[in-house]
Amino acid sequence: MRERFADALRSQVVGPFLIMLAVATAMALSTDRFLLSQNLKNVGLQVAIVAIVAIGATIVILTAQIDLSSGSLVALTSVLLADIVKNAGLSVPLAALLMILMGAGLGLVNGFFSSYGRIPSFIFTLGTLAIFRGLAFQQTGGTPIFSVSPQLDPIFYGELGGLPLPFVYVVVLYALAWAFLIYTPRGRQIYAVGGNESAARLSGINVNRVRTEAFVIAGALSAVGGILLTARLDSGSPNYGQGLELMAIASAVIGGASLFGGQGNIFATLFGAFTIVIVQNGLNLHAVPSAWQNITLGAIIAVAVGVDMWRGEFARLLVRLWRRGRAAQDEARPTTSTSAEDDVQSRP
Amino acid sequence: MSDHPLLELRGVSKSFGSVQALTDVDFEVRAGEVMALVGDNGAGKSTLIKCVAGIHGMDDGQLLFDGSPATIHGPKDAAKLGIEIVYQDLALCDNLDVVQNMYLGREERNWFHRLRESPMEAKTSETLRSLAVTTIRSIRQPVATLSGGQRQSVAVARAVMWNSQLVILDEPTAALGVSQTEQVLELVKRLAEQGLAVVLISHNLHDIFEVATRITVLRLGRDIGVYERATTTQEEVVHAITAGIPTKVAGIAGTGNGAPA
Repeated sequence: MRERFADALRSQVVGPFLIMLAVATAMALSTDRFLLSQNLKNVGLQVAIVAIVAIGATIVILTAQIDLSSGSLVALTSVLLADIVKNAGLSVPLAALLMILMGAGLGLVNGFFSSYGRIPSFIFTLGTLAIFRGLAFQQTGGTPIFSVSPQLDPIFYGELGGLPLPFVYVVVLYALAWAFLIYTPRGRQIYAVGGNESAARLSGINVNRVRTEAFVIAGALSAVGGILLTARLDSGSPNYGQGLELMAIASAVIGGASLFGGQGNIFATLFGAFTIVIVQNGLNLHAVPSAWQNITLGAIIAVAVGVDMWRGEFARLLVRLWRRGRAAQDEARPTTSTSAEDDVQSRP
Repeated sequence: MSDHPLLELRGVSKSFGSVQALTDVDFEVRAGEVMALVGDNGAGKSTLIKCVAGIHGMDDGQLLFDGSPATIHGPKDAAKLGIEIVYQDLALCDNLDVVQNMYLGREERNWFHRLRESPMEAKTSETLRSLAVTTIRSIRQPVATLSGGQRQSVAVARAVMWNSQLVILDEPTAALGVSQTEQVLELVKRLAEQGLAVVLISHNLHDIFEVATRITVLRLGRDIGVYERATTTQEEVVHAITAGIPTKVAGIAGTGNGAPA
């Protein structure tokens, strides 16, 4: 029982799920408007873009790299999509496909220089963060493109059998990502590269290639996020996706992904994304000024990373408190349990 | 034990810039024997092994595998020949479980690139059982939860699972306690008994004298000689490690080079 209790605390999906539940409960109790169906739909639509970009962030983080350029890539995708649909007259499906290919291509650039080029991805994608955003502004001269196309709605924003399409995309993409990470050799190699790079290399895994592919996937998913955002607002703007890369990374980290690589669970990332969006939504409902929303989001990210670092100690502390509580209950009865031995067992 | 070498290196030289790591080294190992490779720090043991693994290219010299010349450009080439190397400390991914580590980089897949877990689990269990590794509770537990001896056992089991003919162990007992060292040495003996050629790199002469059939001594990038475990003493080997004179250069006979009894 004690073992199982500790295991459950360490499990990757349970923790993030409980955090999400706690945050949602707090919001539901503190304002009536949270549970209104219109608000829940809003949450669902807002979470879709964060969640999809967070898949890419998780996969990149699993290989012990980081992609800071995803928010800017969302903006670049958005203005280019709006431009080629509205001004060049391309059909929406073709334009969307081109955008996804472009996202993959720019991801390839990120991945190539971060792995084969040996430039730390933190630095390189910090560069492309600025470059992609700059290109987006360059493209439109800084002004948004409104009323892009009525074609966007039925493919990327409308409903399918009563379900909002962004939600359908989230479900499909998470299912694919999960199958990829758990059931394919490449998925396993992503975990291996993040877990022990030298071991992976000596086992004949092409580490640079695995990392590059992770960035390609992340780039393509950022483009999908940009397309969905463009469809939701029916406009393309170089200002979209500011700070989205941080929300995506925070989703992964709240979901228990380790920034050192090799640890993480894709569904836990989804719960992490929900947590962040629910907090933001709740702050909006309480009419908290945007400055304080930023501060709150930053604090959540800092705490999540802290918990990532201190997870072992935290679990041990909880086990000890739980045991102390039980010992107090048992006080009436004689006990032979030796606490020193228990302490050794509490963590492998 | 067969009498022709499974792996034979002739006149291997390797330099890194101005540093001459290996000079005209000969080395051989036969199927069914444990060949220890010893030498002080910087003697060139690891360099020699990395030449066999294809991680370093040889500047000069020849590699014969089973009597025919072979070239090795990387871990995959070595694996194709049946050479497996267990690296010190670097061998396993802590975040993956035993099965995942055993198949790292060579996962079984079906036509749809889906991992085939059950054959991998079955083969893992079978391999561990054939090596009498019985202390691992579950092959689905992460390697991080295993003891040092168990981890080394997994690393060795991984090396032999691929129908390998030659297993090279780089300091397999360096980080282990007494009983765990015994476990691993037993495993090493068993490999040789099963007909594999084993190369054991170690600093620990006690370990070497417990399991090795023959001992090759390197000093300052040159080979000093090959000693039969049965006919040599620790003193003689220590002397060769610290003050041995390379036979090829000085032409001094009597160190036993190339003359296994």
